[in-house]
Amino acid sequence: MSAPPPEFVPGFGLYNFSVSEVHRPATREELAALLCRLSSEGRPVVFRGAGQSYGPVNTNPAGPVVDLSRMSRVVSFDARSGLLRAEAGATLGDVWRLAVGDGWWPAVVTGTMKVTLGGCVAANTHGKNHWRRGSFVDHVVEVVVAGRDGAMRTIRADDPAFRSVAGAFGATDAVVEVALQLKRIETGFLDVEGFCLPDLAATLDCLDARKDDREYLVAWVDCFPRGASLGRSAVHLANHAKRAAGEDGGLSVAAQEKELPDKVAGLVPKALVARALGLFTFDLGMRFVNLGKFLAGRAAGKHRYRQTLAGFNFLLDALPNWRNAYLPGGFIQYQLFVPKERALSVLTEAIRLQHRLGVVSYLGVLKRHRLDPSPNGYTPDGFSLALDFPVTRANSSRLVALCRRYDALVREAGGRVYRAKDCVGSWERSGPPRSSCPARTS
Amino acid sequence: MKRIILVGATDGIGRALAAQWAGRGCWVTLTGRTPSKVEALAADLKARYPDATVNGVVCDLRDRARLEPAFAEAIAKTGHCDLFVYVAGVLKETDGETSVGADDAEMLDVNCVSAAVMLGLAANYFRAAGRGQIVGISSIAGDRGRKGNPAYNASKAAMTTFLEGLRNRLHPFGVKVTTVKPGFVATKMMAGRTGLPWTAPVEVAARTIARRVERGDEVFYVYRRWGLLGLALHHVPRFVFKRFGPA
Repeated sequence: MSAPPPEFVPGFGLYNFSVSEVHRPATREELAALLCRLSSEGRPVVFRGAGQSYGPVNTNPAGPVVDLSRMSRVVSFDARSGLLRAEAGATLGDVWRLAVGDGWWPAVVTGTMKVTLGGCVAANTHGKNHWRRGSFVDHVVEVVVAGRDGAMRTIRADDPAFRSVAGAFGATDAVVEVALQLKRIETGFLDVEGFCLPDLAATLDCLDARKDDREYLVAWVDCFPRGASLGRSAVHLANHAKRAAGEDGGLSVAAQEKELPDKVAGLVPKALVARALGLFTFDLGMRFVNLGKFLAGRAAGKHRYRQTLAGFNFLLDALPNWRNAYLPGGFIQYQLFVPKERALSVLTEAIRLQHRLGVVSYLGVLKRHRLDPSPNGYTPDGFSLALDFPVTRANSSRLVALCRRYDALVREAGGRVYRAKDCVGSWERSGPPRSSCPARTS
Repeated sequence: MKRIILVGATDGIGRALAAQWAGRGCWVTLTGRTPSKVEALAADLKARYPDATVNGVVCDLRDRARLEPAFAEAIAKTGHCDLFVYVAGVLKETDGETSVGADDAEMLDVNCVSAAVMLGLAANYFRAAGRGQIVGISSIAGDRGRKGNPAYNASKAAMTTFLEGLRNRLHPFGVKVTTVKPGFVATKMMAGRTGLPWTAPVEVAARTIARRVERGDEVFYVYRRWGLLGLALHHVPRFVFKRFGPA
């Protein structure tokens, strides 16, 4: 069998890419035969799902890419127990669409529903409810994996071997099938509380204070202001809504999709909005977008509203092709995970460094995390700040300098970076062995 | 953030270019013939420019079988590549009158045949990626055939033409191709020659090349006056060039 011609394989940020031959097996048998052949050729294989990791983990500069997104069948779903079994290429979108009608929702979801279950296990993704629910693999009951020789085996979550598959980015085995325990929901809605906070200290305090009585916690940090307003934010806290008598529970695909409409404000086609967004992806433009978001939040004051689960969680899907606004250079994300004791000083310094080097993040997202002690875990008991930066000809050397300062900052604070979002080789540079992180003993 | 592969980076212009780009925090993968030199330069650049990511690949461009594996190795080490620069070049001394077969073959091999193979691999890569830039360091020596060193002239003429062909092929795919004709640059290649006019210090040449490459210029000389001279040389009639042309 001849190798397919090499094709362009981009990371989610469109900055990292590889030119690789891509294999797309559709069945276990095809996958097993393929892996067997590739391993006999001695070529290093990388597995890819929907390609939603920011960095290069889903690309392979050194060999073939095996794209598992065609293996996307749902094997079984038990509407009474909420146990879903599906092939690795099934997406979170497939899962919630199937389960929401029966009152189930994935316990941990990412900002996009396009990610595959296999990818969620391999990258051990997290969501806005990490403090409460942990990461994705904490809800996986069982996986079927394929070794490099194509041999399949089933691993239960309590098996020690499971921890070497979860979060291992397919280093040894490919995830082929996932059994996932979904969580019960009474309604398809969240009671969201939105408000603005004037600075970083207040934001960190708020997320920490509310972490036990809210399911989802997230703060959108505006990185542009300096001084007293440094790290001001728009905070969103949400809990699952209780069902009131005689009310529509929103437990249907149609109800959920209402908040993922094709038009913004019912008028402008979304494809056009993504193009228009391109007009704002420069420093001054994004400064105004961030300022506008903050002022609008402040004008609204502390407000409560009801939002569908899909509308709240899958923000990255709200605007199709928004990433194209960052072309031609693409963008990168740098996510700093910092223990809670050091969070204020380190994250303050992180934002100050942006100003000093003249590269300010267009979007900052702050979350609260709990300690993940597993070998591939990357979250300390603390906070993470995820920062999006465009890559342009003008900013590139300053952006590298910033990332290298961040590497040092994270390392010094006993924090971590997350491999799925590492676009610039920080994981190799700053990922200290777990045992050498005293800050994580709490 | 640029990821650059430099073929022939252990000396001269290549080395100075590597320093330029490493100084901007780029990912630089350098290739060279001598393992110790490749290692030493990579270590030197890493120490000087800690923000940069520097890798080395050993590749003797006279070894045809090594070219494709070396290209693959360079891509694997760089992660991805935005800019591929072929700097390697051989200029053999001649007495100006006699051809030496082995020397001519080596010049044609490295400056022309291996250049075509490596640049062709890069072209395929960038065409598939739909982005990127290819740079070849050719020479003003390729503009006319001269009595002093016909093989060198021919090798550089071939490279210039090859690059022009690639430029036309890759244009629809958003890939830029740049031909650099440096003129005299004070490198090892020029050592021992005295009294050369308009000789650029190697750092100046590298800075100019890096700047104009990033600007996306297609064909340029380090000093603009070389361009005027090139234009003039191009239009000297054959019968005049034959009698009075430079060596």
